[in-house]
Amino acid sequence: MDGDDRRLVRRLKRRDEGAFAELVAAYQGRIFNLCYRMLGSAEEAEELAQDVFLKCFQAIGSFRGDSSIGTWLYRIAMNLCKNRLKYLGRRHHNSTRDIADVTEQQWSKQSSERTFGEAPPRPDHAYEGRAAERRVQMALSSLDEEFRELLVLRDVQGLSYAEMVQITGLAEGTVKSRLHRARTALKRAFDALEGGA
Amino acid sequence: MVHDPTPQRPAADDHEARLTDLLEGALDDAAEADLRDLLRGDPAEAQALDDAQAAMLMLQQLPARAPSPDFARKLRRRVRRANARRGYQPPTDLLGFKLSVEVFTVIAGAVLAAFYLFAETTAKRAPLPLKEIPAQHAPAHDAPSE
Repeated sequence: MDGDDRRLVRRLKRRDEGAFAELVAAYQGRIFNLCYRMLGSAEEAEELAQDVFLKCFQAIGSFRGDSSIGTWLYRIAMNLCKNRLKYLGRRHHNSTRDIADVTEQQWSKQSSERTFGEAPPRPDHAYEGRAAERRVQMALSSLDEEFRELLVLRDVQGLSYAEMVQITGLAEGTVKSRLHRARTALKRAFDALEGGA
Repeated sequence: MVHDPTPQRPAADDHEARLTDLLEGALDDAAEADLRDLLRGDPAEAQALDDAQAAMLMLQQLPARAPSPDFARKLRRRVRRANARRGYQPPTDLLGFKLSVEVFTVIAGAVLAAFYLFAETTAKRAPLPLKEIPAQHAPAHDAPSE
């Protein structure tokens, strides 16, 4: 944990609202994106991302500083996402089907909320891009949560293996071997959707 | 003796980890050349590596999604509600310093106690009001003239 992180954590432990606002501003995009890719729904992701910060604020007293505050947030986010997926699974909520059922209009609306500072694409490219994104997201949502977790942390969020080891509790070699299996499984799922489209 | 049904497992894990390293350009030249030699003789493994690469690129090209613009405002509201349920009050801003409610309460109590003690001490030193002075101690000029 660097000096800035330490100072921020000290202020958070004093319940400084300004520090909390800084933390939210710095991480809301990354935490939301992680939740979105894990759950496949913007509404679920928004609520869960808020739960992550709420949990962080409530549990900051127990944060020992063994990792960076960002890694700690990612770990909270992943645990909450997995719990949410289990809950949705118990309710026979099939997220793949939900994403497939999203109408093109809804998908366009979600896509219009998109990216940080990116120029709007040409309409035909935008449509193709949205369709491709939807298929990738559906393929991702069809994988089991352990594979999804590794793919989101590494290929979507771009985290280092050291951070992934801290978040998942797995050895680095295990992370890498499972990541290979997860990537090949994703490609197979994507091809199956392409074949079915 | 019990036969281990997965004797190749650790080696397979290690091989897959090396494939990930190869894909991400983390192997040195010699290790990369060895692995590519191995893949030339194993089309299924080579195909799996291509698949893994395609999946990695697809995920890396996904656009970053942003939360709604009022994300922080909604979160602040939820934090306040949660604090209220736990009986916690947000910090008080006093003269530009952030003071927690506990510290503020102690300081306010100390100020009140000091004020009370000061008032008590001052009251003891003050002369008694004239109407309460006993008659025998009253100054002579105040005695009724005969």
